[in-house]
Amino acid sequence: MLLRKMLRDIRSNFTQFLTIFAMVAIAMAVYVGICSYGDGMKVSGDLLYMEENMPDLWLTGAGFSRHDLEEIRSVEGVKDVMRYMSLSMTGDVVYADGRKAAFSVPMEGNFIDMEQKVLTLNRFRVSEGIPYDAEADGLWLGRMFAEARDLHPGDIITLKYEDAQITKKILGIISVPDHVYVTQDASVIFQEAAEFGWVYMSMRYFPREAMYDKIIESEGMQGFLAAGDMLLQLHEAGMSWRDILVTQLGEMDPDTDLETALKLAPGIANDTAGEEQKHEFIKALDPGFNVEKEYVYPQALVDVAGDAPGMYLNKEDGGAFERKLNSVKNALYEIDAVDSVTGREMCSSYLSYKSEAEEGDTYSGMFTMLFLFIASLSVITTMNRFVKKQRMQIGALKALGYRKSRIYLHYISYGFFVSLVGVVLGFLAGIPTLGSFFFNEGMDFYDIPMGRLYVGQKNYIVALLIIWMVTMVTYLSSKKILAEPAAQTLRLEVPKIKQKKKGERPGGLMSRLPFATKWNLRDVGRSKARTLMGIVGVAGSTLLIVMAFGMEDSMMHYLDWEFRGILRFKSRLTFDSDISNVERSSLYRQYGDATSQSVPIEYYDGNGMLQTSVITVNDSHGLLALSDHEQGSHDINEGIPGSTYSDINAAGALFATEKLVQNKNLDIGRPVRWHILGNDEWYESSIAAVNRDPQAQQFAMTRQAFERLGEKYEPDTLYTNVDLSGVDDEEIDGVNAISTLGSLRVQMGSMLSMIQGMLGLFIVVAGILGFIIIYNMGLLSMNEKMYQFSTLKVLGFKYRKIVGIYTMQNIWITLLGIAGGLPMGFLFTDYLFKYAIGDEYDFNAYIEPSAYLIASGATLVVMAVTSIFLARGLKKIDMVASLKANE
Amino acid sequence: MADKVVLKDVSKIYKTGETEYRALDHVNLNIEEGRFVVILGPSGAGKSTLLNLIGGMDNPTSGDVIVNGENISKYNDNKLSDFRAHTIGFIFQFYNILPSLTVLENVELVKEITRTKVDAKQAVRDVGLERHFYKFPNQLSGGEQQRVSIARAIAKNPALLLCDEPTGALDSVTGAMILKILKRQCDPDRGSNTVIIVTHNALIADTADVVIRVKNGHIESVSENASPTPIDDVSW
Repeated sequence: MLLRKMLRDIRSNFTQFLTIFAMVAIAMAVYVGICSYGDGMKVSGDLLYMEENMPDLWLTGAGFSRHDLEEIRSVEGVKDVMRYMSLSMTGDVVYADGRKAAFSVPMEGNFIDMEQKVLTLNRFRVSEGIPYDAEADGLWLGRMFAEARDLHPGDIITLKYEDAQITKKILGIISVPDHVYVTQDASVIFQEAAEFGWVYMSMRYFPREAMYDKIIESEGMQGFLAAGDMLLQLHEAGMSWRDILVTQLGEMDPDTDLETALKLAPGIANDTAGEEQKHEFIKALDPGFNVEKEYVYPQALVDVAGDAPGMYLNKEDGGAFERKLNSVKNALYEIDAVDSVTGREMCSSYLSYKSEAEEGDTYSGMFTMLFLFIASLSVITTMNRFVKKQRMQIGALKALGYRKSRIYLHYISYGFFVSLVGVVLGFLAGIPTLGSFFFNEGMDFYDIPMGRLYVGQKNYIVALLIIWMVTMVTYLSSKKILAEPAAQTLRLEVPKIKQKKKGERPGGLMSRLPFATKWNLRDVGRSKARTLMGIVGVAGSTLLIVMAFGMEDSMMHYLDWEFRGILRFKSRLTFDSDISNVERSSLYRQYGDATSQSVPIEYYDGNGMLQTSVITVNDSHGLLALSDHEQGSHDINEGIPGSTYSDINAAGALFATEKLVQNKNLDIGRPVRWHILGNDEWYESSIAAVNRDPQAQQFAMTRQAFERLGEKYEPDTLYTNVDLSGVDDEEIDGVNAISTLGSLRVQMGSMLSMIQGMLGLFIVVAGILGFIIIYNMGLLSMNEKMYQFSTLKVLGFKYRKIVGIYTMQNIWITLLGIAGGLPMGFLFTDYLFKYAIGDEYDFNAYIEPSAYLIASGATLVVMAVTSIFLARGLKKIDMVASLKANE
Repeated sequence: MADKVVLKDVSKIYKTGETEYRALDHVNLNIEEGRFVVILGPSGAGKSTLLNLIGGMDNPTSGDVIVNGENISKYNDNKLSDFRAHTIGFIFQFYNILPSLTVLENVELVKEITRTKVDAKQAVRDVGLERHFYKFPNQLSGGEQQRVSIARAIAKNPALLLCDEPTGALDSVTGAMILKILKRQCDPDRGSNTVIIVTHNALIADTADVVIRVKNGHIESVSENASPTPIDDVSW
């Protein structure tokens, strides 16, 4: 029976309960939506990493031999190691039917140790085609590129590296743990999937001729070719081949076949020799030559024993594994063949994905709390008034003999059932809407096959907490009346005779205010909870709109800072790793000598932990500028005004970004201990200046400071004010990639358009929130004061005047809400940018005045629409019924 | 004396779904100016409906309601507001004063809607609340609140004062005080205003000039009281 009463009561107070329901549902939907996407990304990533055995360490060296691999494997804690060669190549792609899909696309070619029969590390997740087979003659292509280009097994790719060409059939479309997000090079901010691909294949099918060429290009072979004529003349002068070998080429193998070698030398020198002749030539000079032994593997992957902590799964055991990892790292540095050792924290694919997956953690809590807070306020005001209205009914139930506990349960059940239904619907709706939306937006850039949303235990706990909270608030709101004895409850509530409330002194300024103002001021003072709910709700709505526009403004401001303040060149040329001095000089002549060199380092942070970072040795003459705290731009050689603490050109003097100093607890007065990766010499140098960078927290150094350490400055990037838009990097010798400022801006633009979708959602939610809050507030206020409006109408007040009185309060509350929401919008946006988007970024909220104007205007429009909607009720006031109801 | 109020064949039917309830059924009535009139009848007889129609708070389903020679049943919402503002003073059983305004402010409220010169303080003094000018309703007793309601009604010196059970929620002493104030409004020196009181308390009827008895939506009788009982002599 009471259940029926509850349902009917809810129906007759539909709007108020709808507000509670809507807020609870939105809170739950936002929480579960954002969590299921964030946790879904984390779990999907963890599963791929675990199931396909993501490497724990990445090694580089001149080339890892089988002996080196054994040595690495013998390090305590190392479970497995696998070597490979990774090359930057280009590729022509042809569909199986002969149509050309793409021409000269930058590609990364990964050649797996030919002796590796089965992949034990970084295994392929095959979405099409066959699994890895070391004997199979073909290649496996990355899924993102394949999908973007509509490529499938059977299509053909011709990879080009210098003069070598490898034409292979695609055998499989794959995803690989450390290739979840790969960019063409570090300068690419946002990788278009169709513009860069990567492949894996066995080294067995790497073209031998390319290997012969590499060997022929070596110093010894070139020396022999240069001496060829002289050796021939000696032979023609009567010297035997053996004598020539002994007297002139003493270090060579006594079995060397000089005659054959010299016979083939002209063809080799003028590059007309074929693959077989090259092989014969090398074999003649090095009788023990076995081409398979010559393959070079400059990269290796290491699997450390034990399970690496995941982003979501197996998160707890991080400490022990981290210690083991560090000890393995240190031991690996002792091996001569190892130049550098980096962990997952330096793997850009891993980092980028992790940062995206963790982005939602801050949002979820913040928005859920906001909506729940408003829901609580709605519960307090609604239930308080509702129970007051039901005073006589409560008395009647008590008089009928209902136990107190049963009546308590009955009234608590309003909050319980409304929140239960809200939570369930929010839960069910949040996952396929918000969850899927954010998940699809987020996963669009990452190659995690079979990624799916994940609803963890915490979501159920939060659901229960929400129900508990709303139920408790319901209980507390109705407790007072429910606790009264039956006889008292059955009596009409006698107005309390009490002293005037603070702020209600009738004299002074108040007496001079117009009636409507006076009346509203006092009404606000008497309905604090409702007023507060209104202000908070409107502030929340304004806040969301400010955030939506503010985030866009801040991103645009970041673009301006990055692309005008820091990147002050028109084009950036990344050099080939083997660029010659001649090529370098030619580039300087043509484009100027503004350059930089990225030096990967390891250093001890302020907590004594070994960290990996990069020093940008900057000799760019201001084209790659450094920002001060206020985002002013400076050439590194000028130092950072106000933040320069010692000689910036002293040996090893470091520039560190503000956020790096802060996050890594670096002390400006104390030297930083660091060494270049692959170099055992450790330096101790102080932080001479502190700069700011919006998207990379690392070190910089002047060229002079670098060279004073005795290090050789070997620039890898050139900056120029020549616009090289449309110029292909293949057209310029020694250049691996060209990026123009325009193209970098376009890449950022693509990222922004993705964010805009999210902002649109913010605005819709803000609109709904604003409407619900203002409507509910207005309705509560109207219901409460209906008899007063009826009295005014009886007295002869006209409709317009009553509407004016009624709307005035809504306008005040809206204005107060806006006044609170605007700065809160800024603070929330600032918080998001400062703390939620990862340690690598140093953003501030920067919000244009127009965003505040739009937010204020939009909120006022919502208020106006809602007020007009509600004011229609005033037109139809039934004076008789309203006044009777009051009785 | 001229007729202040004339009802011609007035009916009022309330509809709830398919059910019709005839609150007034073809009622004809004349009330002269300056009289102290009591409409008497049991609950549900139609007396409040009658009062609401006379006061322009409700429209008849059929028939004409003529007040001061104007057929107000033809008025639109705005005209009815003006009519109530300038012609009618209402007093209710549960006072209906605004809780967020002080005693004086509640009375001054009428300044917002009428061009008539209003001396709010005098009106408050007239009902004996001069010591409570700046108190809020929740600081007053029920009788005092009803006096605020009367002060608000009489402040604009309305030609017609309509009272719906004005003493219904009050004790006998306070009730008598209220009745005296109301009756004073009919005195020629106060402008010979017409006062109509709706009540089911037959004792009040003895004090009236005219007693109209209503039953089941019909006027049962209209009787002149040649010598109304002074209010002080009524034994409550």
